[in-house]
Amino acid sequence: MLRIEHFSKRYKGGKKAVDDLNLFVEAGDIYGFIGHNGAGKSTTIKSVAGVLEFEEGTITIDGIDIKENPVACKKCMAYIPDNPDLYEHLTGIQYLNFIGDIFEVEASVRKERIQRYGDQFALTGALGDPVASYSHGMKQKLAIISALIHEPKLMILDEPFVGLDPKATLLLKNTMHEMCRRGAAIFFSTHVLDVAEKLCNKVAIIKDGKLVVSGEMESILKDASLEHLFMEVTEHEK
Amino acid sequence: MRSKCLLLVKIQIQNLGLKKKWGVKQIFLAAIYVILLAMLASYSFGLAFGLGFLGMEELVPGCAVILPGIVTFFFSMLKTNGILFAYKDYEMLMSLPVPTRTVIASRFLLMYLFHLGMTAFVLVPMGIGYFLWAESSVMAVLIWITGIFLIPLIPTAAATLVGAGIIFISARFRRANAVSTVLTVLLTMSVLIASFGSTAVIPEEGFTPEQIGMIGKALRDSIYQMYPPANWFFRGVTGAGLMDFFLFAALSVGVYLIFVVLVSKNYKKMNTALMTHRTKGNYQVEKITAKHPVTAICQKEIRRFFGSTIYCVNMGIGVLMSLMLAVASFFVSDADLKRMLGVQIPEQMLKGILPLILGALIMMTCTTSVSLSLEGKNLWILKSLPITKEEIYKGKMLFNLLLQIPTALISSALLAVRFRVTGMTLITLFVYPVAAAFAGTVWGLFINLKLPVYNWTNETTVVKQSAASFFALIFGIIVSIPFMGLIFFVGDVSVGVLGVAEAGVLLLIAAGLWSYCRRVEF
Repeated sequence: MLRIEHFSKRYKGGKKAVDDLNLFVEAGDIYGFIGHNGAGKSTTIKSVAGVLEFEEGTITIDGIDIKENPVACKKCMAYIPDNPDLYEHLTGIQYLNFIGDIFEVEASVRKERIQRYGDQFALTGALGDPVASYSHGMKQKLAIISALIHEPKLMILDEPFVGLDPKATLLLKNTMHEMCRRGAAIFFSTHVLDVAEKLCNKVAIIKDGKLVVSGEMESILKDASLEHLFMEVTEHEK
Repeated sequence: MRSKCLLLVKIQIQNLGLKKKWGVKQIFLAAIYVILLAMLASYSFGLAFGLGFLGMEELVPGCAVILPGIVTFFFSMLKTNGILFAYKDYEMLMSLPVPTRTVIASRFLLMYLFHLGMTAFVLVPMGIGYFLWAESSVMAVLIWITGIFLIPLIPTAAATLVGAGIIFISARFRRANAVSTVLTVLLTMSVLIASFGSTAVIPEEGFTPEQIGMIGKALRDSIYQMYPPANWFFRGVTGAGLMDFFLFAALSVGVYLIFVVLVSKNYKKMNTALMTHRTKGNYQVEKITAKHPVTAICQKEIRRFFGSTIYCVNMGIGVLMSLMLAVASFFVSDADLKRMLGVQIPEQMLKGILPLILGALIMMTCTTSVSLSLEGKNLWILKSLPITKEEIYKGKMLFNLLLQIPTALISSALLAVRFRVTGMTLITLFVYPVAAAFAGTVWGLFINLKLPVYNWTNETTVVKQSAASFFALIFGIIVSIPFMGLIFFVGDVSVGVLGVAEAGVLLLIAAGLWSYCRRVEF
């Protein structure tokens, strides 16, 4: 579903934020992407989402190269950043309809999905209010709903659980499982290691722009915890 | 209190994000600003020198107070929302152990410093021009220099109070932004109408030498009646009344102090009203209509535009002025028009210039010059969506054209009736402004792609202070000048045919710019 091959990203001044990253996310995976602050997680995620340009390497989504056909890639994925700055001058429903129009989601289908996810995330009542009036958690929920209404094959999330209340957190986890059962893939970064350990079937740890660990959660962890592994890997490279 | 106030001002200046290292772009922009300031200084010197040459040097002190005062008033009023109220770091500032009055004083001081710079660029050259003709003394020069620091105080405080009043009234409504926009537009229109209307009070007497003194006295009395502090400054500079100057100084400082006391009483209440939103929380999903992606982008732009007073008023000024021009033309007789123009222009030539004037005004409304920049921190949304850049650009251009074209057609129709335009000239009157709309719209997109500003914290930075918005504003004027020159130069050749040809040139410019823009990533 997602293939990142020899991906490197260099910022102005020459510093490499990510160096020769190779990572593969298959359909049905919930893939956790973990690293310390400034490790290169957001850079990688933004490059996959098509938000950041990059010079080295290839990123393909469902077999399509994001540089050659960015629109086709973006059509089958959804991206939710860590701090979803949404259009504050729109109401929630206006924002959802905007996203629905861009993804060309049929009106009847769209209405049903907005109603469903709006009720599940307890946001329906607030959809008529301006986004400017939303709390951080409400904006996060709205961003998640906007990602779900077009049923992406690949969902990319940057720190998705920050700001969500416990009910919404559980709902998001269940939604991720449901999506993967239907053949989609999830790729997300997080600092909440015990959530990643329980939720993800695969994990990658990035340190200073380089991938240090990747693979099936069970085979990587063995009897240790993800927290223990992370500390060991980031303090002393394995 | 003073040191905390200055500290807050220093932080605000640092927060403007002025780059320490200057590249080609910064040097180019700085050069543009230097040229503009030089033009302002030249105009001010020329005005003072010219008035002195005509024996009307008495008017200069009044002009020194009124001219920067009007500009200061206008710009302060528009800056109130965003600099004094509802600014991004309001919550952080108000949580600090700093009195509210100090916070207000620091915000006011920032606006004052900006206007002080502008006032200095007017008053210094104007003072040089004035003292070449008027009697000068050390005291007079000292008063003039002191005036530079005092003149911006009253208009800044007054305008900010008016702006605060608009905010206070609009905050009581559910659609606070819409009410604020309407009130600001009405106030702007009043200022513009008053400016046009003041030309009607100029007496019919021609400028014969014998009547200059009478005209000068009439103008002086008119100015000083309208704005007494200008008279006090004049009396101080001419030595006729030093106490009057002290009264001017006391009033300037007094108005500022009253402003701080009045605003600080309701400061938190007004900011709370502005920065919180009324919510209903009872929405039920209604019928949904799917739209084409380009239409969706356009609709988003419409909501963005009307959701922001600063954006609406600043970018809408062009279409507003074109409508006002068309309507106002019905209230000006042919004789008054000739007198206002000051030169004898053949009627046919005047009809040929009308489309160009209309086109220049229409082109001043250029949302595309700032629309990409205004995405700001929301830019990730467009970048992550499955939509081509051409579709995004088309959606943004469509919105600007929706503002311009209907206005252009209505204004053209009104002017056609007023000036009894017929034949080829009539066709030009409709075709040229529409062509100008297309050219201005694509030019705006081009200049925004070249000079984007995404990391803003205050919309004013983009809408009023960005290089892109400036170049968009002057594009119409720059394009119109050679076209007008052609009309004057060509003389009796059909101005209608020439106008259509000029419209064709504009459409070619639009096509050329579009073929470039559609290949450029934002």
